[in-house]
Amino acid sequence: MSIQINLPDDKELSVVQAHFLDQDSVRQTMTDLRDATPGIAFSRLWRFASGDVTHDEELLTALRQDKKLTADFNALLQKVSWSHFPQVAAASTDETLSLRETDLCTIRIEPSRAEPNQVYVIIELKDPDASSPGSLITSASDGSLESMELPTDQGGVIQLLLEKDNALLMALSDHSSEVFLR
Amino acid sequence: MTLVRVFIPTTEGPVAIERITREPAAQSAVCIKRTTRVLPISAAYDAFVRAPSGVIEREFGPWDRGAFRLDVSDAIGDGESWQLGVFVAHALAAENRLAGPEDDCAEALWISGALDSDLGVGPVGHIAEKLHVSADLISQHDSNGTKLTFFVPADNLKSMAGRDDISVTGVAGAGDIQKYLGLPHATATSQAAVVAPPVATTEEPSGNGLRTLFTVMGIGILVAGAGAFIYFDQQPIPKVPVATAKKTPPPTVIAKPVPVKPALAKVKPAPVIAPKPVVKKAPAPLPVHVPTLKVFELRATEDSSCAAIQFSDIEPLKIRLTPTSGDQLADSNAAGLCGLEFVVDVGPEKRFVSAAVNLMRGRFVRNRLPETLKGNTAAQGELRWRSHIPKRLKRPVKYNIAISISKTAIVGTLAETRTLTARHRILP
Repeated sequence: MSIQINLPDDKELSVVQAHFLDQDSVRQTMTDLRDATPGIAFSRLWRFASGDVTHDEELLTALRQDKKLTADFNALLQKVSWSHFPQVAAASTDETLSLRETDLCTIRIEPSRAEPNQVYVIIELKDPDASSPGSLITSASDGSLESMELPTDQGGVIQLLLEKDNALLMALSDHSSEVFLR
Repeated sequence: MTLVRVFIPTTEGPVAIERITREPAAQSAVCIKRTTRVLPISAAYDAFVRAPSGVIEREFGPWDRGAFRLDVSDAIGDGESWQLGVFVAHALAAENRLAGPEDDCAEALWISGALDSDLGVGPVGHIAEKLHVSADLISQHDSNGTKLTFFVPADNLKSMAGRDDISVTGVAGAGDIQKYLGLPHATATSQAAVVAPPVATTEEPSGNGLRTLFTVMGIGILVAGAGAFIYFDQQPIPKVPVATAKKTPPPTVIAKPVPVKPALAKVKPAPVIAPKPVVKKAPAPLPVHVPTLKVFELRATEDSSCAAIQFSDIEPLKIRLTPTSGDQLADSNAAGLCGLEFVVDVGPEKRFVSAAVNLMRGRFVRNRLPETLKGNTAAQGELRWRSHIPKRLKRPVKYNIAISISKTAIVGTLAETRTLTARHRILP
């Protein structure tokens, strides 16, 4: 099942962003007045989820510490993503996941025969003519976030070669992680 | 068996091809030093490999599902000059003769050249520069006594002029190098190598050897080729046991038993017959079914067209191709030919069937085998599939087909198979 999201156009978006920035400023001011640890503004979440900002260590730390924030971020990420792979029910706790599928694409994990410590991640788009995603993001159950820029697809296939201990690969193989293609 | 190392010269220096492996990947990739660093030329390499347009799978395939991983010692940039060296490396790897980084090798090749789909070699740029930055490689081979041979496109030979200290050969086709290395090669060299002795231009049947070897290694289709029977339904059905049973006179009890061999069963039995013989009827033998492979031309009828046949359910005119000798089918004329239909009659009992169509020259427009012909699903009766033929052919399409039939799933070379083969050409 896919969810139809109508994103605002550029004009509406700038109004929305300005509104949230105002809100953020007000909240930051109020928080400072209360001498408390500043929270993460929605605009900051939005910029990170939409890819406008790619590095925000403070936000990443906050995501690992605040499950509610992680849930909000994942919900936001889902809305801006090309495809979303939710958590998968595990057959057993030690079983690693080698296939994830949505109605738009599949993600396959295939161990290399030549190099046992390397693994292929193969993203196959079901519509080869569709615009392909530009990045792969995993959100683990502990709130840690991993992302990787994707190469352009060839005939609807995007292939990555990763080390087995790559953090993104480990999250991808974990049933409890959510995966986003943006 | 001598190991050979292949170097691809670049303007940054020569790059060794270290290893070629078949991987469970979706796309073939070029990696540096066995790491996860994938080079940008991987997309071009994948196109160079992938059938039907790529030459590697066409020449050395078919293969199990997957892709190749080519490990190199350093980066190779854009361009096409790597193609000839990579092709030769695949040909060597097919014979387990490609030297790895730790292997002692008898000879090293320095190869630069672009390759077209007919395995003709085209000129490349920066040859003199590539040679200049190979000075260390040359002196290294000089000092350790390993032969280093240079192959460049014949058109680029003048760029190597004035170097008497190295052995340079200008080549017009990949077959020139395959022949030099004593490797089987499918297609004739288009021209004799410029320095090498003249090369015969007649097509050699040895090309089948390479394909056959790969087929054996890949899906075990031709394993039984040497020892198994090659059946065609025109061939006489081996009826010996059945015929003997039919010709055996009604069972009788002979008063004085005489050992009778089956072959002597026609001998008139002794006249002394015991009364009321007790006859145990042997169970009727099952009719012997010989699996068959038939190939049909599909042609448009007067009131239809190839397009209508290929894109709708219009039934074509089917003309069966008959063998002219052995498994060689009569040539087809491409004019008005829409496609081919292949029919494997497995028989009444369930069998595992694996099919491989090896395109030796040219291509089909559609050549997708049904799942039941991949050796892992039991099937019975007639299995059929179609391939479409390009509307215009400039050159002949030449292919062979191999069908393996087994009582067990065909995995690797383990299954005991019966093999059907056919060879066929479509002439423009």
